[in-house]
Amino acid sequence: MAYSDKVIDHYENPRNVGTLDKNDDNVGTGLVGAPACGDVMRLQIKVNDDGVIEDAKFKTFGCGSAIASSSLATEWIKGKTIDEASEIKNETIAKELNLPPVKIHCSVLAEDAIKSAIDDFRKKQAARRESKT
Amino acid sequence: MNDPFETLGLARTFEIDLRAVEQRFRDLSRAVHPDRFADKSPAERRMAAEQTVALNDAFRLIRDSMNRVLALLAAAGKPIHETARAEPSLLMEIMELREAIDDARNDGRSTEALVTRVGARIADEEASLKDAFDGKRFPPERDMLERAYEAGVRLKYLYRLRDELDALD
Repeated sequence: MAYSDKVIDHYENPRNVGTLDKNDDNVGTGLVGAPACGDVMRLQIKVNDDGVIEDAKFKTFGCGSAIASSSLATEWIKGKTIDEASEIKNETIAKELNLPPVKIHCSVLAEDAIKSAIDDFRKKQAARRESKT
Repeated sequence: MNDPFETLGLARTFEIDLRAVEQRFRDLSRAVHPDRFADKSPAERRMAAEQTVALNDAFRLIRDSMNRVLALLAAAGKPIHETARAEPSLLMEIMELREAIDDARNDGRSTEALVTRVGARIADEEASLKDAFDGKRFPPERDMLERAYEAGVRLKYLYRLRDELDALD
C-alpha cells in the first residue's frame, strides 16, 4: 500500500514530537491506543489563561499513518481554543492526508487523542477550582 | 477472518503441536491438490482451488501465536474489534517500555533487561490464555473469557515489543 506524499512528509519530518510536563496544571495529556493495530499515541496540550492551546506535543509508536495523523493534529490545534480544537473531526484529518480506508482508524485515534487531552485538562482545571473553594 | 481451527478440523486450543498441525494441513491439502482435479469439471476445479487457498490461509494464521489468539477470541464470541480501546494503565506501561527501548537504542546500550521483562510479561498473559482455552470447555466460562480477552489485548502490544527488540539484535 502506498502512502500519500503528505503522510510521508509528516512521517519523515514529524512536527511537535516531544513531551510536556504532565504534572503542570495547564497541560492536558491524552493517551490512546487501538489494540487491533497495537498503536500507542500520546498527545499533550498546554493551554493559556485565555483557553488557547499555545503548545502541543505528541509521541506515537505505530504505523506511518498514525504518526502522520497525530503530527498533523498537533499542527492544527496549536493556536486554537480548546473548544475549537475539540471540533476537529477524524474525517478532516483523513482527507488532508489522503488516508486509504484501511487507515481511517489512525485518524480516529488522533481525534480521540485530542479529546482525551482536552478532557484531562478540563478535569485538572475543575479539580483546581474545587480545591480553591 | 474464517476460523482456522474449523478449516483444519482442529480442537480450539492456545497451545498447539505444530508438527501435528502441519501434518493435518499437508494431508488436507493433498486431498484438494489441483493435480487430482485435472480431469474434473471447471466448478469442481474452482472449488478445489478455493479450498487450497483456505487451507493455506488457515495454516498461516494458526502457526502464529497472535493470530491464534485472535481466532480463539473470535470463535468464542469475544473478538478484538478495530474500534476497541486499550486501558490507560496498559498504554502507560507500553509507552514506558517503548521509550526505554528508544533510549537504549539511542545510547547503544544493551536491551537484555528489557527483553527479559517483556518475555516475563508475555508468559504471564499466555498463562491466562492457556487457562481459558486449553481446558475441556469451548467456549470457556465468561470470566475466563474476559480474562483471555484482556490478555489478548495486552499481547497485541507485547508481541510487537518483542518483535522490535528482536529486530534490534
